[in-house]
Formats: sequence, structure tokens, C-alpha cells
Amino acid sequence: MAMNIADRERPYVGRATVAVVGNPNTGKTTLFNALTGLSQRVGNFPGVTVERKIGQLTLPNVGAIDLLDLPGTYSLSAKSPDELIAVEVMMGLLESESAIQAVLVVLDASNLRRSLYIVSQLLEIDLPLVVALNMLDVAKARGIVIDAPALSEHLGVPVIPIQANKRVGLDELKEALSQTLKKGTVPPRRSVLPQSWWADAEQLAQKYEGVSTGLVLRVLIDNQNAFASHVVERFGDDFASDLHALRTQVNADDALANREIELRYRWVDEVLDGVLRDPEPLRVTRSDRLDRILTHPLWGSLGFAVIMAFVFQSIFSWAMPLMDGIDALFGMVGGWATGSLPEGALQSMVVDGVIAGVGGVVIFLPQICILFLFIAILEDCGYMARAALLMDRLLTPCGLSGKSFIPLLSSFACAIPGVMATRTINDPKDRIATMLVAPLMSCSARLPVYAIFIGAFIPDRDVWGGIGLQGLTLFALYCTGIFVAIPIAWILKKTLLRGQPTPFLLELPSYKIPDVGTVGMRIYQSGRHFLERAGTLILAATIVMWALAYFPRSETIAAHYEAERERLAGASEEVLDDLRAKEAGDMLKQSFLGRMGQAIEPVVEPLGWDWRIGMAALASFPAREVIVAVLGTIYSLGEVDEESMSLRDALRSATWSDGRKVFNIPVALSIMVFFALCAQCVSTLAVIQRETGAWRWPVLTFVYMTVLAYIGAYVTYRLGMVLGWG
Amino acid sequence: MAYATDAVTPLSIWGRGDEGTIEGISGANQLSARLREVGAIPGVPVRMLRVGSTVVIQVGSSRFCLRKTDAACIKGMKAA
Repeated sequence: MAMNIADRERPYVGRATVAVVGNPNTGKTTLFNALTGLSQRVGNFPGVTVERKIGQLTLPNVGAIDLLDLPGTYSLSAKSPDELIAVEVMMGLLESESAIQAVLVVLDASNLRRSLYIVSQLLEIDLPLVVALNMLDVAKARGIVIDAPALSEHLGVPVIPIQANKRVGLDELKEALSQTLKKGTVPPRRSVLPQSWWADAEQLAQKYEGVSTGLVLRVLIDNQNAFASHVVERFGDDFASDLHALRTQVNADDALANREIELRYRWVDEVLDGVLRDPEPLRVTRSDRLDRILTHPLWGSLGFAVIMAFVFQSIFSWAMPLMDGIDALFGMVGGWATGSLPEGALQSMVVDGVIAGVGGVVIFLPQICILFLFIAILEDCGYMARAALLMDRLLTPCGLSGKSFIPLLSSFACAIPGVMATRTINDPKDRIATMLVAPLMSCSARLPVYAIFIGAFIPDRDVWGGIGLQGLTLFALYCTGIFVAIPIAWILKKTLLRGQPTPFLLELPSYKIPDVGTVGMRIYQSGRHFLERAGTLILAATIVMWALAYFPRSETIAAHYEAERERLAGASEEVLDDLRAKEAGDMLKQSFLGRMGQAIEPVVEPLGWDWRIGMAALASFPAREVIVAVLGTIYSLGEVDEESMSLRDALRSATWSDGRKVFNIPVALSIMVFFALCAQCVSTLAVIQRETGAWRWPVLTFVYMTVLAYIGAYVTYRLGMVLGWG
Repeated sequence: MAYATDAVTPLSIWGRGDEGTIEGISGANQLSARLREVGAIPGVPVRMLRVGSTVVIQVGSSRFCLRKTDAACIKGMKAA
């Protein structure tokens, strides 16, 4: 059966890279996490801006290797941008620095027949292969019997039964990987495809540097898809015409792709002969019974709403003690710094700038972690696909599909992974439309903004059965983004991105208990990312804003207040405090920031904002959570900062020059609505540019969101005042 | 296996709980290719799990959701 090839042993050289591939929902990520743990890092493929997730693994007798996690795919015939990445890596088109030396393919034992389809394709790319047979426990519970040694014999590659979630079989898997890398045995080519195709493909491949037989076969069958055009582009016109000639020769048309599938499944059935016993393929599982409720048009939608409301309520109620702890810690550090640094610019920068600013942002770490906890749990247990199913009905009228739901939901954590998650959307127009509305979803960076204003101004009142007004307000703000996204997507799909409604096909994996390691990894990574941002971008913005608010120091004002203090010598502490506050306020007003703020005040006044809020909002365009840091700095500089007054209290007591309070409920709501809608995130705009490869999309996103934010904030403020909430 | 009828029907008109076997997928687009790749090929057992504008079908041991209009391209023979 196997074709004779002289060179079938390729031991690894240097530091080996192993790619992890498999169908979606096979526990591939769980295995990757179990094998690499905290050594994972996310970078780019050399030369191209495609994200790659890599982790380190130490193998017996081999030492450290790199494990590369590729997007889940059902087939090497790529149909979406993320599958395209997986295929290009497998075919050696992306990894230029360290070529892949072996492939670890993860199979779902409870879905073995389907999982083997991609194995039949992987056997044609001439790389050593190791099979991890995952979820045998699930298969067993369903009465499915699999003979793993027989499967290994039929495939000609090692097959290691594992349970990634229970960390079972990992040592055996590492041993197999080590053996495979050392020997570098390329599995025998099975005659899945006609021998004549092989011969022709091989002949063509030999003419071009870097072109393998497997690659030629792939582009021969994948007539006219994105992968084929990439390959043709890369290897030039001669290659294109040779390929065209070969296509004519073998009569390559759409039927060829169907024929491939047919041949592969025939091969899969041969391989499974005597390996798989599944007495009752259409058995009703526990997942099916659960789905009768959870995907029910009425009960399922209600359940979805309840889950979401619970998540948002928990973000507030669970995080409080932790946040108070962090707040106290920064208060202590601030007090210590005030005491140990000499009075002056340095002390002011550390205490009012860095500690008040960064501390104001870091305090929200518990809430971010809780949000990611829920997202990770919902994803890992299999519920997300059900939510996408329910949401398809809502997304279809705006021209999108349920496929857009998962990227949009990820955007509630952060728009950057959300925009990248649109790679699972096959249709390019749907994909761009999803990307453009993704930043409207309330990301975790907005949470600090909402939290500070809700905490300060929305009464902590029980509305109904344990659901508080604060939690409801937060929920309403999250809904604002969604309700605005619907018409925007609809307009985009009717105008710039007009196209046919696209099909929607999504697998519903079996429900499972979420894996603690996978959930923990998500929380750890998002928490670390948040702190890194606070330590870099936010810190830098804070120092710049502090400097703008601190300088220039006016001699005249200082001299004036010095004289006042002398005149009032012996007056009560209260009078002196008041004087100090007035001095700080005057200083702030004539600072660079104060002057700029007064210049823009006419623009933000219709929103009910004073110049401080206006400046803070303006400073937040690079990253929205900067507002909390900037407000912390502004109020810390502009108020009496002897007593460690929390930002919340500072906001409550802020006044206009005529003594009226700056903040009331309509003002707080107006700020929050502005932040809910505004495109205040440079990283997101950059990632949209990167993913679309065009500047017009991030520019359009920025313009439409900022305009909407202004209008939304104005309407909210006016409405709030008319309703008498002021 | 005895069939109540020999008629091959599109899955879009099947009711909840109906089961049978796949007879074929019509069309030559990405959706039909992907359906075949995930195992929706002739002879494979199929069952309707959810009906409505978005349907859920079980193909072999996998479950997929897709729109009712798209499910029309899957032809199946209902078992008795």
C-alpha cells in the first residue's frame, strides 16, 4: 500500500518544534495547557502578523522543545481565516525560522470517525505524526469500544490514549513524542488518493524549491480557495501554469473535492475496521437531554438571560472585599511614600501620579478575573455554542450569523481577542462587519469606568429579589453596546459590506465539566495582560497627565497663598485646609492641562461635564481605563490630599466654580454611555488594521464610534435631567 | 431495516426526533463541502434534534446547528 520513498527517516535537528492540530472541541487546548503550563507565550510568526501560541515542553532524552498550538480545524481544505493559518503552518509556508519537525494530532474518541478525516490528510504531508486519543472516558460511557493498539497498527503511527482534563497518559505521550522526534520516522503514505495523482504531484513538486508533494496535492484539490491562491502567489507564474496544466490533466473541478472526501471516508472506514465498535450511534445522551431545555426557543433564551444577569451581578458582589483590600494596600503605599519622599515634584509624581493613577486601575483586577472566570467556564463547558445557536436568530436580521456571536462575546472581555476570533467566520464581509461592531461590546477595560461611577452615584438599592440597582445599571450599560451594534451591523451589511446571507454551521460539543487548568490559565493570562497594561501604557499615560496637570508651577499663585497663610496665621486647621484646597485648585487651573481643559470645555459642557472630565476623556483615547487613573491624578492634585480620600469620595465632592456639584446621576450616566460607545483603544484599532490589511476599517470604526458616543452621552444627559434625576 | 417510505426528503422538513440515514448533500459550495468533511456522507445515521429557524442535527456521533434553509441541501431517508 505504501509508496516507496527512500528518505523516510528524518531525525530532528536543533531545537524541535511540534505542531498540535485537531478538530475543534477535541480538548486540544486542554492538552496544550497541560503540557506547557505557564511557559506559553503568544507572539507572531516571523515576517507576518499572524498570532502564534507557543509553549515549552521538556521531553525525556530530547530536552526542551517548542509546542505550537494551531487553531482547530476539521480539514486541511481551509474554509476560514483561522483554518488557513493552521494549514499554512502545516505546509511549512509560515514557519520560516523553525520548521515543524513533527505533528501531534488530537482525536476525540467519542467522535473518532470524523476525527480521522484530518489524519488521512496529515499522512500526506510527510511529517512524523503522533496521535493523542483523547476523551476515551466519554466514549466508554457511551458504550463505544476502541482498540487503540489496532488503530496504531492500521495508521502506522503511535496512538496514545490520554485524558487531557485528568492529566492521564501525558508521560506516555511525551515518551512517544520523544521517540518519534529522535527517529523522525515519516509514516507510510497511504493510497487514499489515486496513485496517478501522487506521481504527477511529485513530478511537479520536484521542479520547485520549497514545494512538497503534499502541497501540490492540496492545491490541486483546493481549486480556487484562499490557500490555493496564496500558494500560487508565492511560487510564481511558472508554478501557476504548471499547476493549471496538471489540473486540466486530472480533470480537476468541484467534483474532485467531493471525490477526495469520499475516498478519505472510505479509507477511514477501512482503518476503523476492527478498531471501533459503536453499537448505537444515534443514542440520546445527557447533553441531548440538557439541550432540550438550553436550546429551547423560550426556555433556552430565558436561561441565557438569567446566566448573563448572574455573571454581571457577581462581578460586582464577589469582587468587593478583594477590591477594598487592594485599595487599602495602595493607600498604605501612598501614605508611606508621602512620608519618606521630600515634598516637591518627585513626591507629587509618585503619590499623585503613579500611585493614585495606576492604583486606581489595578484595583479592578478582581473584577476582570471574575469576568474571565465566567467566560472561560462558559466556553470550556460547551455552553458557548448553544448561546451562538440562540443568538443566530437575533444576528440573522442584521445580516450576520451565529458565528459572529463568539467573537462578539469574547469582546466583552477584550476586543482584541474578539477581533482575532473573527477568523472563524468564513465569509469575509461578515468577518469585517463583526470586527467593526466588536469594539462596541463592553470590554473589561470599561469595567473600571463603570465601577467607579456606579459605585459613587448609583444608589445601592435592592430592586427585586436580591437584584440590585447597581447590578442592573451595569447590565443596562452592557446592553447599550449590543443594541447599538445591531443597527450598525445591519447598515454595514446593507451598504459597504453588502452580500448574500451566509450559511451558518457550528458544532455543538457535548457538555462537560470545565477543566480547572484551562479556566485558570485564561484567568492568569488575562490578569497578567491587564497588569502589564497598567504597568506600561497606563503608567506612561498617568505620568504624562500628571506632568501636564502639575506644571507650570505658578510663582504668583504660590506667593499669593503664602501671603494669605501669613495673614491668617493662627487660624483653625479647617480654614487652612480650605486655603490649601483653593491653592491646589488654582494651580491645577493654570497648569497645561487646566488651560487645555478650559479650551475644550464648551465642547463637553452639553454633556454635563466639567473640564476635568473632558480632559480625562480626551486622555483616554489611547486606552479607556486611563480615565480612572487620570481622574485619580487630577482629583488628587486638585483637592486636599492630606487625608487619603478615595477617588469615589473625591468625585462625589467635586464642584463647579459656582459651588454646584459637578456630578449627579445624569452626568455619571452620560460619562458611562460615552465610554460604552467610544472607540478609545489604540490596540483594537491596530488589530483591526492588521486583520483587514486596510486602514479604512479602523478609521471608519473610530469615526462612527466617537460620533455615536458624543450623541449618546448628550441624549443620556438631557434625558436624565428631564426625568429629574439631577 | 424497514422504511415507511422510500422517499428521500430534505432534512429541513423533518420533525424533531426523526431519524434515518443521509442519502446525499446537494450543491457545490463551502457549506456542502464542510458538511461532507465532517461526515455527512451517504449511509451515515442522522437525527433531527431541534427544529425552528436554526435546526440541530446529529450526524453520526456529532451534533451541528445550521439554518433550516441550509439544511435543505441535506437529503435523507427517514427510518420507520
